[in-house]
Amino acid sequence: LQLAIDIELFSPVNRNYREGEGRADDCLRHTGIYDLEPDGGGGFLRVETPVVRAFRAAGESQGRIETLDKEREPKEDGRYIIFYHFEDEPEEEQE
Amino acid sequence: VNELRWDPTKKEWIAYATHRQDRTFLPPKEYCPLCPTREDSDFPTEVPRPSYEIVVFENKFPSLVRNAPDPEEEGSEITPTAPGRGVCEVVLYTDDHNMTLAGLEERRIRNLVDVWADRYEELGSLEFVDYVFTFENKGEAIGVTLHHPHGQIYAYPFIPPRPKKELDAARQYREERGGCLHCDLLSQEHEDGRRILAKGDHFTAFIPFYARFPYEAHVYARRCAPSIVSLDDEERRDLARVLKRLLVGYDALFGFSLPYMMFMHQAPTDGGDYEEIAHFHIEFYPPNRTAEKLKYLAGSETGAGVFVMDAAPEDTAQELREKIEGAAL
Repeated sequence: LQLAIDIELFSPVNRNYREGEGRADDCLRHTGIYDLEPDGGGGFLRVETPVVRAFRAAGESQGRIETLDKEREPKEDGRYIIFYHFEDEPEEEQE
Repeated sequence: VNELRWDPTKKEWIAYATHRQDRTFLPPKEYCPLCPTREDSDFPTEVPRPSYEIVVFENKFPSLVRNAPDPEEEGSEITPTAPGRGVCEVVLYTDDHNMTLAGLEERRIRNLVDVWADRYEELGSLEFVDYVFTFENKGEAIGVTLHHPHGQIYAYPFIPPRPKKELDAARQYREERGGCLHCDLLSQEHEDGRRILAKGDHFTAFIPFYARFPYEAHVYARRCAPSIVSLDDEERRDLARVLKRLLVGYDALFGFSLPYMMFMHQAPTDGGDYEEIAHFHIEFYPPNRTAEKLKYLAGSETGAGVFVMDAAPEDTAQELREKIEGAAL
């Protein structure tokens, strides 16, 4: 016996839909790897959320780059500023 | 006004940001807004600390904004408008006002590569950002308004036309011939050799066969890496090394700090398939054709889109390569 476990992480519908109080697309909770968007024909399309890109980027770097040391602060006018810090490595000797 | 207007004749968006007209223009050094705020100073700058290594902040005069208002102009069916939504950041390379990217120690350029990658990753993960564009305008000949060493990043809500044209060409090449267009171009440059400027272990700098500017240089990843994020530690170190060599050579070319436009082309962040299509590279466009003369985008270049070159890439590459090899790092 072969069991196939298919895990799909997409936006679930909330209890309102189960209780018949709303249209499915009004009851979506956008919490997943994919969003569901109406396809205009009564079904849904799976649309990647930004989480997918973040995972893909992390996968591309193959975990070889350490997380940067950075401080993020709000500015008075609502913008942000980020300070990056680096260990002061000695310069390699030039040949 | 902060909005996009569609040009249906060229199928391109134009960004309107009229508040930028009032941005700071070539202030004296003591009033540089990108310097650190010194403890004894009564002039608070953009950076509220007495020193810093590398800093990124949202542009005070952005061309695109996160919470863009509805367009003021309604537009029409053939000339629609859209909110000027996006993110514009400023990247400060160092707190030393008189420094340049060329003058930075190699390890500091290596740090900057990490910051560029971090910004690509963070901005590209935003739902409304389809393309992260990292660039630097250097020198008054290019039109910079602040001399402090810095670059910029625009996170666009669409793939800009120039990268799109390049990606479309690479996609067509992959479909028709298989493989990566940029990898094959790089192989061709390696085989020919005449336009190579500098080679590291993982990156190559060269003047392309079809250069539009006399000293235009492209820095290509040898591996088909789609973006700066996908570079590993050794590749990032080598990128810093090759950039340093190229930039020092640029400054040795005419004996002054050479103005240029620098920008990166890499994979869009729209979730599409760019395998063997996007190939990370950096392009440099110095406007000088001699020490005293600039190349202008005149009638043929601007009106017809046909660049007319009065120097052969093979000759300018040899000249620049000799400067690179002779320059002390």
